[in-house]
Amino acid sequence: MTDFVKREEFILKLSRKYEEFKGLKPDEIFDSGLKDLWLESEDLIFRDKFLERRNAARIVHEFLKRVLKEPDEDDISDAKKLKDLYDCHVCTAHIAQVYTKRIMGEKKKNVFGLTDHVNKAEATDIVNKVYSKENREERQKILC
Amino acid sequence: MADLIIELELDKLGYKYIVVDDGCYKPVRIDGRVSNEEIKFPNGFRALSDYIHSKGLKFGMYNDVGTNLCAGAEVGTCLHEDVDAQSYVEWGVDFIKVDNCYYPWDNATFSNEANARFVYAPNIKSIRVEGDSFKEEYKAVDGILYGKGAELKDDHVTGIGTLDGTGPENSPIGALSSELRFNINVPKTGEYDVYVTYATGQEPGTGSWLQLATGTGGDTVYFYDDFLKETQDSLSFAESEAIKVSFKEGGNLLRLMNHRRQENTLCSYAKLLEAFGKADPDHDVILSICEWGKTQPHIWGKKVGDSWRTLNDITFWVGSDGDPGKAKWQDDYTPSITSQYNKAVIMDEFAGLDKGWNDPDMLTIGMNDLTLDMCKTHMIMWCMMNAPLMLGLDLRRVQKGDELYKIIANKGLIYLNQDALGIQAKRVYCSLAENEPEKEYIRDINRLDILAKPLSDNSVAVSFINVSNENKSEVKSIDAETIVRYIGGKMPDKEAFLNAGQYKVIDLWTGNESINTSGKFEAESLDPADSLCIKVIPI
Repeated sequence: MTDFVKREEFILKLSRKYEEFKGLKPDEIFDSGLKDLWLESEDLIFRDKFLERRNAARIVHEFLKRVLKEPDEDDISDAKKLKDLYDCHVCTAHIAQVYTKRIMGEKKKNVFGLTDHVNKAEATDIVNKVYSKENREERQKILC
Repeated sequence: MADLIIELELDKLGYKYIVVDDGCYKPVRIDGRVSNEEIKFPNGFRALSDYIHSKGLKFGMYNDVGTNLCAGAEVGTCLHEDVDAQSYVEWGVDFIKVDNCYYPWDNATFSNEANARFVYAPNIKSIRVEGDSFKEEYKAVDGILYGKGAELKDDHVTGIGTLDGTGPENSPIGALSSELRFNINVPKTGEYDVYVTYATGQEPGTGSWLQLATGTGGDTVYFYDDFLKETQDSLSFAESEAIKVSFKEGGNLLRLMNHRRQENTLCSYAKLLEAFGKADPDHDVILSICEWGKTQPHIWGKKVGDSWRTLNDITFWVGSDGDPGKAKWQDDYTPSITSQYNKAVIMDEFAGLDKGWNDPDMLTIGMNDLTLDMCKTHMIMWCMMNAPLMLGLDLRRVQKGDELYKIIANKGLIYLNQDALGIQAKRVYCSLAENEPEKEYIRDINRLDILAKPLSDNSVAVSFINVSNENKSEVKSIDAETIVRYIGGKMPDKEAFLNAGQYKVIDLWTGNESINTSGKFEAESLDPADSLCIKVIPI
């Protein structure tokens, strides 16, 4: 049996650790995320689908910027070693940020794994790293 | 943005299209149709279109020839061309940018990597030709590797296909694909059996689709254009069934190849264009091909589109509300002004009124991390290259008369871009190789380029561009004779230009005018990424 996380599960796990969202119902969190632009409407429509790594990167990056007010990293040169970084077009900036911030790592050597799914252990690790810079010292290990 | 285009009077300078990009649709089709994302576009696209048209502007949209859009929404036009074109016509869409993600017939972005089987030939070890009292085997090692990309590996040839132009590595000039060719000498005219010893794969370099033909150009005759039966892996060789080929007595050129990368993509864009024609033959729509230069669209784009992106994106940091985005002058990959310029500047022969336009992506003027000199030179480069001028900046940051406004609203430069001759500037001098201005520089920006662009009034626009990050203090000049040598064939009256006693020279940045009697035009010191753009009018 797979232990991949669905979009909704990840979004709730990420947001409910933040004081403002504690105790909110899922729909209230989605409404807030869509209004404040840290979620896209596809997150709502595909809430029951497994989460892909590129979408995790987008959600995490937007949440960091718009909710936690954490500024972007200027130097993303480390992320350039990811062979699939520029394949992503609209998610390149998100991946560069979560990789540079050491919140998400590689799926394979020098490959981010854009469409690979996020498993539960990975999701927990991502959320822990979002809320604690100390946890980011070690970049997420290859989890495939 | 539509209001600001009018308020800033940019419409009077030719900025007419307001184009929405990825992220504007619901992520799934509703009753088989694409529809508006309701938070960003609560009143729907028809209302938006009507508003934009009420301002005298034109409305542009976005889609993809694949199954999904690049951001993932499951609303690509693939297999929905007719119904989508109908929607766009109903919404009054005047322009459509069409991406190439999730494309089913190539290993494009987010496509199945195994789609490479469509666009590369199998590895070829040998062929056998049999006919009436004729039997000959030809080994791949003895064949002719034509073009670029294929290579001999041990006893077989691999990599037969079309180069991927998405990144900056592959030049747009010269051979863009490869073939394995054999000279077949037969005793008499007739039909022969050709057996190919091959091994199939599903990865870049080794596919399963073979095209087999004789002759070249208009004399090309295809005898096979299909999958070969899959082999166990790309090194397990098998012999094909007999392929019937007509040879004439004596020498024949037999070509083993796969040009499907271009043909497949061309057909997909053509299908969408045809659908627009069916939806309303009188509805004019600009089709902006955005397959990032992958299949060398400068070769075929004129058949189905108005412009073609020449590389992957100029920036991946486009910003959002309150964030102007980031752009760069230099980068190893495509996200920089010079990466885009370095490729497009040598593609002048592919663009024109009867073809279409090279599109090195939008203007990043006004984004963070660019100096004003970089923005100014960016504008000069794009205007000289006849590139589509798509503003990527938030116009709320612009005031009439401020520095950004002066750049994007420079009438003289915009007139160059829109000149009736429609001829892209040619590089006539490059400090790195003075006698080879057509040579491509992918990453070496430590240079000064001089471009010349013929104009319909028989004047010539000349730009001295310091591509580097360093000051260029030496005086650089170009004379009328050199200009005519490179672009004379495209000028309305080259003799009049060459033999003029004097020239009026207008600096298109400052507006300063002077008279030149030497026929030699020069730029003195240029700061990093700075440039001089003059209009030279023969008197």
